[in-house]
Amino acid sequence: MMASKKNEFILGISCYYHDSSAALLKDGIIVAAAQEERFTRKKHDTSFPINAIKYCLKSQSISINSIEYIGFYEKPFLKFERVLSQHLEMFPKSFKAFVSSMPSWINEKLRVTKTIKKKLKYKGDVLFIEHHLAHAASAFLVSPFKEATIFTTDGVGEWTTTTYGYGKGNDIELMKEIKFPHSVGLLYSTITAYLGFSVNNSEYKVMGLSPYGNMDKNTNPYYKKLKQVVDIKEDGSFRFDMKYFIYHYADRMPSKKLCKLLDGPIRKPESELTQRHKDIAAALQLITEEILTKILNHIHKEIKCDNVVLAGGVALNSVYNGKILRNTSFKKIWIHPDAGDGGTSIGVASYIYHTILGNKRNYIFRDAYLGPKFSTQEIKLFLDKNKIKYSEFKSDGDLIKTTAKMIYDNYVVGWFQLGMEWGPRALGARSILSNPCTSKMKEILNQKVKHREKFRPFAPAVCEDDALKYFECDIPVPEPTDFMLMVYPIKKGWQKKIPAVTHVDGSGRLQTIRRYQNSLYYDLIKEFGKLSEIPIIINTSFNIRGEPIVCTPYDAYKCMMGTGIDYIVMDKFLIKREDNPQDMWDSEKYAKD
Amino acid sequence: MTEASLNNNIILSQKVRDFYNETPFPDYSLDKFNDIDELILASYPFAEILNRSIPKDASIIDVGTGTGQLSAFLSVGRKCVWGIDFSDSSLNKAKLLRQKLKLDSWYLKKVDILDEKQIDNIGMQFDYVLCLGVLHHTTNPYGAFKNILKLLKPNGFVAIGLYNKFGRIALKTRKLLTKTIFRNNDKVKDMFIKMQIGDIKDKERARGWWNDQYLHPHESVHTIGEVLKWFKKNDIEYYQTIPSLNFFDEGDMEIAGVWNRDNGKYPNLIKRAIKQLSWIYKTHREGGYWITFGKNNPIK
Repeated sequence: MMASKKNEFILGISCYYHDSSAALLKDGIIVAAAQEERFTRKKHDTSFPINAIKYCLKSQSISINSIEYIGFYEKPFLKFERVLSQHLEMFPKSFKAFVSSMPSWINEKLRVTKTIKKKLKYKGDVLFIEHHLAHAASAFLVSPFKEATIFTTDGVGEWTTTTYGYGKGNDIELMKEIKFPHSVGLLYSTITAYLGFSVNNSEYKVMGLSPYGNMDKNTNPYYKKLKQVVDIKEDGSFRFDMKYFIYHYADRMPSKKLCKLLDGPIRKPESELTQRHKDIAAALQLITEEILTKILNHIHKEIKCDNVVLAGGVALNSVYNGKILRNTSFKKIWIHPDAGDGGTSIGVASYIYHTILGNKRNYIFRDAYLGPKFSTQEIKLFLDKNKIKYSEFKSDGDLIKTTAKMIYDNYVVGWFQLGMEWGPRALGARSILSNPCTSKMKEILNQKVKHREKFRPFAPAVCEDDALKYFECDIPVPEPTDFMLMVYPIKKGWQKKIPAVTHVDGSGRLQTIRRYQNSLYYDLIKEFGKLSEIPIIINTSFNIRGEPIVCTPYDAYKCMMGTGIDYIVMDKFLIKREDNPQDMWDSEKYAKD
Repeated sequence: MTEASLNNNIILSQKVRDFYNETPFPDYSLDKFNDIDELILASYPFAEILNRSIPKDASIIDVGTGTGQLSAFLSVGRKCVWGIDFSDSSLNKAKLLRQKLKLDSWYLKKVDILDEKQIDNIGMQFDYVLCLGVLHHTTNPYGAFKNILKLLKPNGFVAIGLYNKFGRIALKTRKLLTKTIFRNNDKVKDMFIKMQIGDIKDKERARGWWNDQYLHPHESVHTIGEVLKWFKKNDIEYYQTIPSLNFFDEGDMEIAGVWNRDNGKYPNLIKRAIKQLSWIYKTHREGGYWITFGKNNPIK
């Protein structure tokens, strides 16, 4: 255990696979965190997160010299060992993939320490921890629990794809693991690729597609077929029949045998989605839920702790997350808001501060607004400098009343407040808001802004104290709903009244909001409730399809001017699209996966 | 020094003092700063980086602070930041700013850095001594440098900003043009100053920069080697320069800060020569201005 001192800054870095990010801890408290994509405007950017690091340091008015330790979210040499082993094992079939992957290993992935020291001019220690330990730390060390069962599952880390363990105080022990190539995350990605969506990006679309398919295990033929692919044991451990996959030696994922098993070739992107595709998505969701439920029940029996924390990309499966407390013996749940690889920068930094340095835990992750924020003066300066026409609200009350009325009148409103959200979801800082009570609002939003697949639902945002009236949530409402991580059924009587956020199966991926987190947003929803008699609004991310969520006032303005967003409420200012020059850029052109 | 040259220096110093009394630098309108947020917002990127490179609990003295925009900004959130200057008129403007924004931790004093006694009268030492764009306007830059080192604590940090002999060539050429061919051409003059400060909408700022760069009664130019010698003679450990002297430097000042020691990369003659030649073009917009950073290491 190393000695620690006050004002200790620790920087966590995650990069080179997907969703690069950086997080800064000051005395154990996360003071800044952001994904690189928001700055570079490249979705899921994998590059070294130089801009995110710059932001983290700037937010605390420090330079790299103030950083005590830098943590990296995985052990590159251990991962390289796995990559070499899999290529050797599959030689010569793996030769092509091996050759194409080597340059990035040689130039980037194996030179992490050098890169950090060179790019950041950093002279201190760089600590590396295992990928799943970083996930585990991101889930447990910032959770509200003093002790908890930890469950992590994703595509693959170094060797590990799934782990469970136990956390108490500031210690974490990972007890068992499942190794590559057997991976729930990779199964999900393989079927995502099979269904013509992009891997490491569109898995959530497959999840959203699944309720359109047959969710009955007994009658969905693809459920039985996929069971041939995965052998699931009673304790939830699983093993794949690798003849159905090629991801262990190629750049693609499904094998010809899998295509044959699923009665057709890989779907071409943007082509028609047939009932067969929907049934496959449903079968995949069923299999995933079966594996996860078995594992969770098994580890509850073994560890005998009622609290569970989750991380890893699979923990972003909000449909399943909403079922965990009902289908397993756990009583309380917490999930890291950025459960995918992005969240590991927080994980590694927390692990260094609490577990390696032995500092007591003093922080619970309840505020996701950890990204860049802009003061009223900064925003005013931006607007004036760019000759953007705007008006200023007289007070917060005026802002709330006017905005609620605009939403009620079916306008599409960009909402730009506070610091940018951490994680993949817009949570009321960089959001597009609209009226869920209007049946055509889904089409209007898609036509005006999002240009996304018709089957995908929009999310409802509701004040936490109203959630149980409209949604069949667990009681008390679990905190992960604050981060839009749980899907719950919408109560029958309300489904038809909020059609724009009711999914085909009557569910909604709700975001709950507590007033202390974002009072303006909370009050706005309440005010909207006074007008519509239902205090729920549509909250979708402030971006168009294929773009990262907006970060700066410029990004927000650009997004509005290229789409059909009617207004932006940016801090205290109201910007009307009609008052400003039109068509800065053509958003349709940029709409992609 | 002969009596004649001594007298010349005194006259020149007085000329410089009169110049700054007439044209305080960097000039600004007090209306621009109604609260501390506006002061922070108006800070230039380099000031922001400098601020991040200095710990919040450190004491700072800004030598030749002028109207004090930099030292005022650095005093936000700090307990002890001094600004010294020999121009009454500049200091008066700074004092008005201090009063307006209630910057209680910002101390201002009239000091001529060529006068050892006045330096001694300050009566304290600082963690950070900043002397940016000042020494080259004195009649004895090395003497002034030695004097200000008295204000530096052992293990304290120093930053010296000067005009480079090579980097200044382009500005000197521009200066000559404005005095001859384009003497009556305001458009060209505007273009030249815009080249240096980017935006000339703030007329007071643009005029301040014009006076400082094109009408100053005295300036000297220096080489890197010269400053390194000053450092060596006075036990100042060389850290780095901005612009960097390293080839293929991937460091970003916004992250690395400005007191980041170039481990084992002491700039040799060849490196210095190549870099300074490249500065003829690279730093021509800034008028060949460069800053050297170091640390006071009295005991080896």
